[in-house]
Order: sequence, then structure tokens, then C-alpha cells
Amino acid sequence: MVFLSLGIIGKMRYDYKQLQRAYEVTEDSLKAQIDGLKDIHQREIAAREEILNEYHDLLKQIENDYAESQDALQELIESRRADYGRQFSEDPASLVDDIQIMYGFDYVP
Amino acid sequence: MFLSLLLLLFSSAAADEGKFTFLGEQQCAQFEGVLFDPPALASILARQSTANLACQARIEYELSVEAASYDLEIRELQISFDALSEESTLMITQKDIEIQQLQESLLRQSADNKLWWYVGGVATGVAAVYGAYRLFNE
Repeated sequence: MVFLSLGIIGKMRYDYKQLQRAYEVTEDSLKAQIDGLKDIHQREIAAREEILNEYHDLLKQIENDYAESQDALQELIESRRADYGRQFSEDPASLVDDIQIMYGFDYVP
Repeated sequence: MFLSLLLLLFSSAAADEGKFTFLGEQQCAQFEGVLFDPPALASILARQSTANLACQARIEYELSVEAASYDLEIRELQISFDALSEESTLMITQKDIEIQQLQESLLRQSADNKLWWYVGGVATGVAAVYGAYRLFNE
């Protein structure tokens, strides 16, 4: 009876150990999943920050390019303003032509 | 003031393509109109002659901003896709490992022999009763 009881207890303990091992396997798997997900999310956040910084740099570059083009345009306007000012006193006929071409107005002398 | 003069000029131009003339000092004009002094006229002409360039620069600026914005959106979506793809691969891999280990664990479990447990229990009970009967009867 004693040996039989010992045998049954031993077997129950073995089965319990196996059950515990199954739980441990599930636990390990979940831990591995969580670690993996953390790693993936960290890399995702880093990548997002990187492209966001690149985006801000690109926007700054675009703003600078636009500001430069506006400066160049302003210089061109000033230059042409001076040209038209000179044209008014030196060559009114060509100024008339320019105005007619530009606006389509009729010149009335 | 300058804007209102421009407005007058352009509204006139829209009506009958406009007219213009140059007046000397004390000179009368042949029609009602607006007189610009040379710097003002030069400014109007200069701005008009560079309007296409200004417009082109503005279009390029707006297109660049839009392109950058869409590029950012595309890259963000690509990052999301990559992350989700990695998560999916990770979950599937881990679940495969878990299933394999649980199957191995299950194989090590004792088989579910209910009949043998029943027979063994009855036989043990009978033997115990018989043994006790013999022991205490002698």
C-alpha cells in the first residue's frame, strides 16, 4: 500500500511538473513576444523621429530656397525698375511698346 | 494708395484694355485717367514683367512643401508597415516555438488511461480488503 501510494504521488508530481513546464513555456513565449515588441516599437519610434527631423530640415531648406529666390526676385524688380526709369527719359518709344505688349493698352499721343 | 492706383489701372484695362498717355507739366490729357510718375510706372512695369517669375517661385515653393509633406506621410506609412510586418513575424515565430514546446511537453505527460486506473483501483481495493481479512482473521 505504501509503495503504491508513493508511486501514485510520484506520478502526480511528475504530471504537475509537466503542467508547470507548459505554463513556463507559455510564460517564456509571452516574455519573448513582449521583449520583441518593445524592441520593434523602439526602432519604430527612432525611425519616426529620424524622418521627422529630416522633414523639418527639408522644410527649412525649402524656406531658405524660397527666401533666396524672393531676394533674387526683389533684386530683379529693382533692376528692372531702374531700367524702366531710364527708359522713360531716354527711350519713351520703346517704353510705349513695352506697355502695349504687356497690357495691350492703346497709346494715345 | 498705390494699390488703389493699380486697381484703377487694371479695372480700366479690363473694361476696354485701357489707355495711357504721358503728360508734361501743365499739359492736359485727352481723356480722364490716372497719371503715374516715372518711378511708379517703372515699379508697376517691373512687377508685371517679373510676375511670372514670382508666380513660378511660389508654385515651386508650394509644390516642394506639399511634396515634402506627402513624402513624410509615405515614409511614416512605410515605417508602420515594416513595424507591423516585424510584429507579425515575431508573433508567428514565437507562437510556433510555443506550440512546438507545448507539444513536446504534452508528449511527456502520462497517457490518459482511465480504464487501467479503474481496474487497478478495484484490484488494489480487493487485494487490500482480502489482505486485511486474512490478517485480522488469523
